[in-house]
Amino acid sequence: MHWVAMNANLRKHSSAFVDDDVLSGELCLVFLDDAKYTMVGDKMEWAPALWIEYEKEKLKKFNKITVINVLGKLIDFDKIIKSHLDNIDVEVYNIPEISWSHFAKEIKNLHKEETIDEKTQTFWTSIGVMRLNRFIFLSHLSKINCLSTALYPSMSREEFDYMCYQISKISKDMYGKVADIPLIGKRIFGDVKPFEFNILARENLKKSMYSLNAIQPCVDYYVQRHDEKYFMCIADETIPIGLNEPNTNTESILNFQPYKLINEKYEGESNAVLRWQGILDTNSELFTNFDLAKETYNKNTSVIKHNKQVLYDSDWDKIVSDSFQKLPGKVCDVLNNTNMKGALKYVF
Amino acid sequence: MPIKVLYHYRMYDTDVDTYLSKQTELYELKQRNKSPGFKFRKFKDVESAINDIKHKLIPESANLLATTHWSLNKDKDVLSKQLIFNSGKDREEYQKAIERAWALINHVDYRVTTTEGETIIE
Repeated sequence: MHWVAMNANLRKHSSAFVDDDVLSGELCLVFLDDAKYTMVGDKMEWAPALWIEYEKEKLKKFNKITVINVLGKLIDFDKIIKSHLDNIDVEVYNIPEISWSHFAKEIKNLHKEETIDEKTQTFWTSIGVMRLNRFIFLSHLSKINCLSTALYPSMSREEFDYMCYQISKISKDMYGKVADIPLIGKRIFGDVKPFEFNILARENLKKSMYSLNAIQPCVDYYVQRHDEKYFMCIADETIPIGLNEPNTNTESILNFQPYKLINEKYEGESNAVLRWQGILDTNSELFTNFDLAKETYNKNTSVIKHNKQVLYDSDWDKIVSDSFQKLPGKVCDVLNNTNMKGALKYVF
Repeated sequence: MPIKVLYHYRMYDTDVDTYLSKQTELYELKQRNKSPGFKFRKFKDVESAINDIKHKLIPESANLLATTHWSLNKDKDVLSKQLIFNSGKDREEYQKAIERAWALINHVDYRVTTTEGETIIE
């Protein structure tokens, strides 16, 4: 079976395209670190979906396409492929347990289980890399005078303007004015590696009832949702406020349960910018009203305890190995032959 | 109402790997807006210049949305592309073809710098 790795860097170096001499039989598309959206006109598009369209004539010559994805879940991606290639057989295998377990295991090992004292502050987060959802989050914090609860990176004027451009395009000018966010970042730990940072950040998280879970924004049919910050929150009994794809705060993964915020009205909003804005607007009192934040936090007590137990009691290696057992042999072969599991070490 | 748009392309005269490693170095030094310091390539003629900069649209048929005139300056280090669109909608679609190319492969080679000239609505 011929296979192509779906990876932005490989495509940019022209090595992630279908060779002319293999156009028959079954093609396997292996997704690796390729979640990022890109702007085309006023829409957030996903490069692999553009790739399908771009390679359509070659892809038509295959009988079958097998998609293997180890980072999050692709929702209805077979339908997207079939919208371009209606006569082709498509199978999609999502093995998100590989990436989710990787993060869960890392935090379980790094952050030894501790008894968490009474929470004394509502919110704390540290933004490492600026992304659109995080930018909107900072804009909201600035509007409600709560920027002091976040650390954030420096931005150039061009980066700031490009974020504003994307917000205006995606929301079709319905977002309103972006608040002033300082271009000079706020850092307190100095120049530390992510590993060291997570240890230093823990003291702040332990005191906070809420934090931010805003991973690389994806198009809505690519559910990534959880990275190390989500599991750090679970370890320290902090509620993560998710600004990701639809229903991030109402659905969950593995055996974890979703936390309940004040308002879920915007969870299903299909426009990403308006969804994030709506979630922040309708839950804004979590940042500004300590008593309400505490009351909402206390309502989540059983979920907080349950999720912490799942994090520390689960055998994450076994979860990955069990998910492998369920896969057809040919999918395992591709994952083993492409060293996908090994490659993930370099992705994270 | 025809719309004329002008783009100018210059290409650093070095190989891609050297160029990208210099960009990484500038990024790490937080000097992303600084010139990498390479000379600009002298193109042989218009056809080879278009080939050199690896100009790409997705789909390629977006070329049909505009009348395109390519030219080189006297020093042969600036390739210019003048586009004439019959409508704003055609221009938008052409721009999307550029953005799709950036998303997937690259609209032009890494080493190319682009500047936009004056837009004229006649």
